[in-house]
Amino acid sequence: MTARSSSDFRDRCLGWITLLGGVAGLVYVATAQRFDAYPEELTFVFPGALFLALIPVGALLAFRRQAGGAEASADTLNADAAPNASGFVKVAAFTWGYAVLIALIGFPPATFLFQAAVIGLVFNHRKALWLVGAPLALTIAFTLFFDGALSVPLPRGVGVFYSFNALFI
Amino acid sequence: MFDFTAILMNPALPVLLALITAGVLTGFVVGAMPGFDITTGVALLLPLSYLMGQSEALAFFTAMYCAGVFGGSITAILFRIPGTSESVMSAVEGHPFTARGEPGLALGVAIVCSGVAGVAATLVLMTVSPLLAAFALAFAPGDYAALGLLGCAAVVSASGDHAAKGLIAILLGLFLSTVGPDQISGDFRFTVAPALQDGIGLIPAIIGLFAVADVFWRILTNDIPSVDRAALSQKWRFPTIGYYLKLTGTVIRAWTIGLFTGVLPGAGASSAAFIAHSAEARFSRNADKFGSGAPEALAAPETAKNAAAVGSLIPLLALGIPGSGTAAVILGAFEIHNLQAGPLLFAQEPELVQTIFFAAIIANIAFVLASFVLMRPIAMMTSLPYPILATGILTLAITGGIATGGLSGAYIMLGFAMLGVALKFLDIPAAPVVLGIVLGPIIEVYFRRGLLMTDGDVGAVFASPMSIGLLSVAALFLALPVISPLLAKGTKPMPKAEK
Repeated sequence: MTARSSSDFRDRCLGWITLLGGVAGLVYVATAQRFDAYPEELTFVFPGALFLALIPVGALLAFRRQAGGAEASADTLNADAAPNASGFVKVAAFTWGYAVLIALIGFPPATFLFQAAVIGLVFNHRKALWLVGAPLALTIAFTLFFDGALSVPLPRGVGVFYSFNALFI
Repeated sequence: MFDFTAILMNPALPVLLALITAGVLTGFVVGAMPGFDITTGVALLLPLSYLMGQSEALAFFTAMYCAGVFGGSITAILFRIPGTSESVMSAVEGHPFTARGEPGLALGVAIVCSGVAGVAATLVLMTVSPLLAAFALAFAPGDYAALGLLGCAAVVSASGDHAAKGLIAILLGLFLSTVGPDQISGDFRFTVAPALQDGIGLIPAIIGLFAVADVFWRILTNDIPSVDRAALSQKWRFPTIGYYLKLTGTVIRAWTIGLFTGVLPGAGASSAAFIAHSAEARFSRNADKFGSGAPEALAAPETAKNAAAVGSLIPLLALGIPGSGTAAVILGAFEIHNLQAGPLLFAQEPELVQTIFFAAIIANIAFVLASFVLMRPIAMMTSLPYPILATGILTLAITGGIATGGLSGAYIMLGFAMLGVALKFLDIPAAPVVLGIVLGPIIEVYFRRGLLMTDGDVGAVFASPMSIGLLSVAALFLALPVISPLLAKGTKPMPKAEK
């Protein structure tokens, strides 16, 4: 598949998603109780108008014929380039995990683990300086910055982690 | 209209000047750092606002913005890596100078043109925005709603060949602004997760869409920036006065284009740089040298982007409508300090407005002076390894999300990061989404107030001459993407710049 046909396909998919999203949203606003509970407040007007506007735009993209010459932007994923899907999945999973873990084990340990994981498993640096030194330095710097300079109440975690983190933040 | 006496006599002036200097230096470094956009930088550092007072915070971020827009040109010219999206043309036209062994000429043109454009645009900002704000005080609810719609239409029009995608992006932003409590009835809307009960915070949305999505996308596409430092070992010879004087016409034309482009919501400094470059190609006698490092070809985008950056502050301050993605981020600093940008700001917080003007003018002068001294060390700092930069950005983003909205803020921020990746995949610009989130409440609240006042008569809401005028301009903007290709069919195509 060439870059352009790939771009056309994505545009058509976007058109269908927009069209169906507009229709679904409009049906929801027209039928949901919360939007007609207070007709005098006109709560349905603005979101209803937005969903209505999505329908013709979606139809335009879904059904239009490419006139030719439309090029995919440089920022778009090139069909010929090899995307690093596993790297993306890992970094996204680690970042979500970091957001969850930070509440459980506290900011300093979660930050150290997150950075070591990203540097080691996403960017594939396996030397000790990268895996331990860089995350340690960054964790200390960020803890000093947020806790010391900004006085942001950083999460301390729960249980034993709370007691451990209380030594630093 | 503007009087800096109170600021100059204030005992806290040294602190203010120190923060403006810090803002300039931070903007420089952030702008110059490949993989670190100025919008991202301002968004990530917004939590710093908690450390500062209102005036200091806004002065710091204004200074950072002004210097950051230029900062991207440093790496663009030296290494052909645009530090910011605004500096793409600087890479195309500036790097050939470096390749010829003349980086000093390109850097000198970039510094002086950017600085002159910034100072001149600040003078317009100081003159026009109070007048515009005073004028806007007389607006009826329908006029405000029409102004918001005009902002949306301008964003769509600025999306050029991708107008449909610009429209989808702004509609998405407007929809996201409806999530959470209804500002008139208080009823909850579209709150599908507990984290959305208070609605979507502007700051987590911005951090996710710009900072985290950019890191994710670079990893997905293997677009990891690396710097060849050979240019740093060259001898830099800066331009003479005569060299600059030859560029006067270019600077005036590009400045005018930049300022007007900046004032339009959504167009921003990137569009201004492209438009000024292609306009200059029509005027210049050296059009055939465009793309290979002609001084006019570099001066035009450099001038236009800094004029546009300051220009985008005019609608932000006077009307509460940001002229660019970064201006929308600066609106986040207003939000942190419970300030409402717009016409009332001039009446209620005149000293704050003066401080912003003061910061903009000092920052534009300071970055010119600092550039000639600090350019080389700043360029050297850009060789920070990307894995360190990326993990640093992600940590700052999560912590920034927590600082501004607790763990809910972090989850919303990550949701927006995934949305940002999807938008990049579908080639949809992210800035209109943010502008939609900002403009949504303005349009909805004023429109519904107007409807309540007129018993649901839409025609009566928009019956004033001001509303009719604003909606007519909005219709023109929406029609432009359709009309432009038809008009272009009859004209001779422009020679394309080599890339």
